[in-house]
Order: sequence, then C-alpha cells, then structure tokens
Amino acid sequence: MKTLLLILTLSGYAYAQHDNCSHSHHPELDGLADIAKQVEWEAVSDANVRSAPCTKKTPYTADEMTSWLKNHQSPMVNSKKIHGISFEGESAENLASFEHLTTFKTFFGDADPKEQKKFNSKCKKVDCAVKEIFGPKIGVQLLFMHQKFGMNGSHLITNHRSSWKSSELDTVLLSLSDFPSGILPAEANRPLTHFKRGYLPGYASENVIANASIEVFDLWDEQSPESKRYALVHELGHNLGGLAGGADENSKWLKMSGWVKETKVVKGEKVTEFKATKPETIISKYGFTNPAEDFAESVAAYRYNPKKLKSVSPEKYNFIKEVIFDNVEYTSADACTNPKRLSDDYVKKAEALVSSWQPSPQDIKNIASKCSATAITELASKGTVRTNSSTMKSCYESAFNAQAREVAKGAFKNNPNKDFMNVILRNAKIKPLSASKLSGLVQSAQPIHRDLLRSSLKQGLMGDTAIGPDAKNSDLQYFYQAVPNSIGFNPFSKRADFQKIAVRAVAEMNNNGSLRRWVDMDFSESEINDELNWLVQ
Amino acid sequence: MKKSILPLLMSFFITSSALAKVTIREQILEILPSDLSSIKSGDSRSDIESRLSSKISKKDKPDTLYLNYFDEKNDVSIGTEAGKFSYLYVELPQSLTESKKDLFESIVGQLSTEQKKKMAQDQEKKISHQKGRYIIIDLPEEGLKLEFSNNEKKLLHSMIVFPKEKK
Repeated sequence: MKTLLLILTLSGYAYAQHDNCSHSHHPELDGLADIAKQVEWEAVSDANVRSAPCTKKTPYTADEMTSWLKNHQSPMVNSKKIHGISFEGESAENLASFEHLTTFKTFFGDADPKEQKKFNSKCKKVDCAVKEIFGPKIGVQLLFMHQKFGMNGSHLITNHRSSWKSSELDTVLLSLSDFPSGILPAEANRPLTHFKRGYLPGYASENVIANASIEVFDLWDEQSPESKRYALVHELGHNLGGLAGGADENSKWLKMSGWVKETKVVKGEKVTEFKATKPETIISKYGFTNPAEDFAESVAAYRYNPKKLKSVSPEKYNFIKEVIFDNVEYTSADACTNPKRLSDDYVKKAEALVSSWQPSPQDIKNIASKCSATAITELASKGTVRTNSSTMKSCYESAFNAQAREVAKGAFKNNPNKDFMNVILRNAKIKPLSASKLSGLVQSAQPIHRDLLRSSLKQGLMGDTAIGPDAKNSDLQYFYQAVPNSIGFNPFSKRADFQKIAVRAVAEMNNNGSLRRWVDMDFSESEINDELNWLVQ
Repeated sequence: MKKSILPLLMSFFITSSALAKVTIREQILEILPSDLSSIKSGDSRSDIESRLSSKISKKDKPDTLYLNYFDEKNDVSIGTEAGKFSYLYVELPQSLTESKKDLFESIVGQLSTEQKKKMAQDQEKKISHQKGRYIIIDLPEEGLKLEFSNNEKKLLHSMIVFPKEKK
C-alpha cells in the first residue's frame, strides 16, 4: 500500500512545466518504455537510506544541541528588544536567530505589523524565550537548526504554517546532517516549514509531499523516516543547485543527459518543454521530468545510493561530488570518514592569493563605491557623512573582505567547475585580510570615495534640475535622476534619500546665500563645492 | 541662469514623471546586449533572423525562434505573431546578473502594496513541485515579466519582454 502511495505520489511530480498539460500524460516518457521498465520510480529506497554510511543514526539530544549552540556564540554583550522581549547580555547570533524565527514577512519580504506577533515575556535570554514561545524541546531544535544549518522552521514567519512536532524536527535535523559539515548553512535564513496541517494550498495537488520553497505537506508526515529524509535531501538538492551558480540548469548539466529544452510564451506565461536524449543517464523516472528534478534526484542518489548514480552516470556523479559535496564520497564508511575536502585545497591556494593581492586605485574606487548606498543613507538621515565614521569604516572593511573572497576564487580558475563552486566556498574558512592590510586599504579608500561621492552629488546639484534658491521640494524629487550610476548603484532605488539630501542642501545654501536668493540667481559652483565639502567629509 | 518660470517647471515635472515611469523597463533592457534589447514592435521575423542569424539554434516553428545566445541551451526564445515580433524570452546567466544584485530590491521598492499582494496571490496559485524556486514579478504596464531566484541572492533569472504597447 505504501509503495502504491509513493508511486502515486511520485507520479504526481512527473509533469513538465506545462500550464495546459494533463497531470496524467508524461510526454517525456514517450518512446522510453524499455528504459523506463529498468528504472525505478525513485532514486533512493528506504533500505538505501538505512544502510548509507556516515549518517547520524539517532536524533540530536538536547545536550548536543545546547552544547553546540554554546560553543558557537560570539561574546554575550548585546542588548536588544525584539517584538516585546528585552534581551540582555546576548550574542549577536542568538539575537539574529530569534529575530528571524519570530518576524513575520510577506511574500516579498516586507514586515507586516498587523500579522506580527508581539510577546509578553520576562525572559532576558534567547534560550529562555524560544522555549517559552515554541516549546521546551522545539525551541532549542529551531534555534539549533537555524544557526547550524541556516534553516528557519518557525511557523510564525508567514501565513498558513503549522508548528513542527519535535519528532518531525528530529528527522529534519538528521536530513540536514547528511550533508558534509560546512556545506550548510548555504543561506543565512532559508525557510523550511510545515504547511498548515489539514490543508493544501491552492497550488498543491494531493500528491505533493514537499516543494522547493521548502515546504512539507501532510503527505510527508505519512512517509517512513527514511522516505522523509530522502524527500528533504531531494528538496535541498534543488536549493543547493540554484545556489551553486545554477548548476542544475546550466548547459554543462543539461549535456550530461542530452536535455533539450524549448521555452515559449503562451498567453503571457512561460511554458517549457524538456526532452532527455540520453535517458539511460537519468537515475530515476522522477528525474525524467526536467533537468532540475534530474539534479535533485541525483543529489539524493549521490548521498544514499552513490554506486547506482556512479554506474548510471559517472559524469553526473563527479560533478555533484565537486560542486555540492566538496569531494566527500559515500560509497563506503572509509570514503566519508576523514575525507580530503576540495575546499581544504582551495583554502591554501586562496590564502596565498589574498595575501599577495594589491588592488589598483581603480580597484579601490570600485570597491569603495559599493559603500555609496550606505553613504547616501547616512547622509540622508544625519545630514553629513564622514568617510571615517564607524559605519563607513565597517562598510569598507566588509567590501574589501568580500573582494578578497572574489580574489580567493581565483584559486579555482583552472577548475572546469569553477562557475559552480559557491556552495562549497561559502563557509570555507579563509583567513581574512590582515588587520594592518585592511586598515591600509580602508585609509586609501576614504579619500577616493569622498571624491566620488562629492563629484556624483555635484552632478546632481548642478544638473538639469536647475537647483536654485527658488527650488521647491517637489522640484527636487527627481534630483536622483541627475546623479550618475557611476556613484556605485542605481540612484532610483534611493530616490527618497536623494530628495532629502537635495532639500537640505538647497536650504543650507539658501541660508548661506541670502543675498543670492534676493537677486534670484542659481547657486554658484563654489557654493555647491562648499556645500559638498560639508556634506561629505 | 535665471530660474525657470512656473510653466517651464511644470513641464519639467511632467517630463520627469514620464521619465520615472519608463525607468523599470529601461533598467531591465539595459541589462541585455543591444541586439536583443533593440528588438521592437513591428520588427519582422525575417529582420530578426538576419540580425541574430549566428545565434539561432532552431527556426522550424512558425511562431518561435530559438537561440543559443549566452549558453548552449536555447536560452533565448523570440516569439512572432503574423510574422512580427511578439515577445522576447531570455534566461540570463548568473555571470551577467551577479553584478545587478540590488535589482530585485530596486524593482520591488517601486511596487505598490496592492501590486505586491496580487503577485503574491497569483504565485500562491501556481501548481508546481518547484513552486518557490522563483519569484515572479509581473509588470504588464511595463510589458515585462521578471523571474528572480528565490534565495538570498535574488538574482534575475529570466525575463519576458513584450512590445511596450501590448501585454
């Protein structure tokens, strides 16, 4: 019965992305009858999961989770009020996690005060608060899941979610632990939630276990623990494929099974047809659906049924081995115990590149300009911006460290999979720039950025907006249009800030040039220069 | 220079308003290479074929041209209706969109609450196991439909560009 249910479930997945396609017809299977007979519906069986090496066999205990959390906090020196709870002496990590776990966001990521829960708690510590809000065990599980794996399991973050049960989270956490350490978190805050129990969203059929959001539905609850684990690793395969430079839809991946895709637009909607011309390289019938399912099934097979994947397609095996699993193999217990990681090799080469990195003045300008948006926000809110303020220094440091990581990627420049390494490199522990080098770079960036900001704003103030003593606020709302993109970002995105800046600058120049107002002349270039020297320091 | 008189200021305001309204489309089209962004309403299929001949991978369908433009995977489709341009579909490589990381925020920042609510509701209705992989921003008034990756990067994944006067 369970097998039939699973077959029905998986057949529900197997439709191409046609809006007008019947769920019962699978054109990708036409002509594949012989191959299809030899291929299982699924890439992984319960027995595969049970016998897979290097899998954690028992759920994380409260002590394990609490101990891990304790050992991964920065100094507990912060105080913050979050949704009604005043925390004291907390770590940045705990505060960030609590905020993510309890903040309601709309589909586009906006806060919604009407839906936002406020809490009435005497807790001063996050550990206390999550236990109170989510339950003594679930609270710790969610906190651990968020910080160790970057997954947000809270039912409070959006509509139509139910709380996880503790036993379900045990399985979820085991699935997450099936990836090599350091692969997760792949994102800081990925939702991994249970859809509202007893309901299906308008978009789901009754056969859907889970989707790429990542949401699980009631049907997931009915699976065996092994099938649940496989389903989650499959969904994470989608997530990681996207984060790994689109590894699952790149032509390199498509060629491995001879996928041909054709997209057209029908009644305003994108409709894509897929056909695999090398079906013998596809691990499961479910994988026949499209390249993304092929990838997710291959990721699950790599983890739990690697010998089968290797025999079906050594090329796919090797690709996934590098870009998702960091060279860790699971063909035997020996293979996955103390493996030699690709990222370790990368770290050595990368650190050498970073320590010898000498950015040119143009490089420094490009890097510093990444802080222009921050500077404009500062300027709009405070009236002036100092390039040596703590905010700006922190921004420059982040920008230089981020660029150093880009330089570090040069360690992989000869690797044929270099475009897909984001996942394995995200958490690679490369020594950052030395404090002295970083300080020197920031000091050289400050005057360069100051000049850039001044010249960009000057173009605005002297531009066709005809800024002058009679300028009204309504005249100035398009000030941003005269600020060039060379400032480092699209000015449109901060048009309100630019207007504030223009209004303040005009008022200030008015105050300084009262005679000029009387004779109704525009501000002179020297007045504008003086104003800019005050605005940007 | 003397200050503009009020009617001139008003005409500037109106012009600027008009400029502001086309900015999203311009923002998006400037991402594309010029041989794609310059395709416009009224262009005939034969014109388009001859301009992009080196990239065409398949042209046997009467209403669609397929191109291997950035990659070898039919990543661009050009639709024609009665022999004239009707849409452009482009799947963008991450190497191109990585430098436009603030595009999602910039676009969403220009949407009204009602627009966002409707788009969210439309996407809730989509039937797909891969629902949630992308965020779709439908801008019929701009003749655009944009697809962004639904992860922390929020990179522009693909776009459909319709002739401006047509949905």
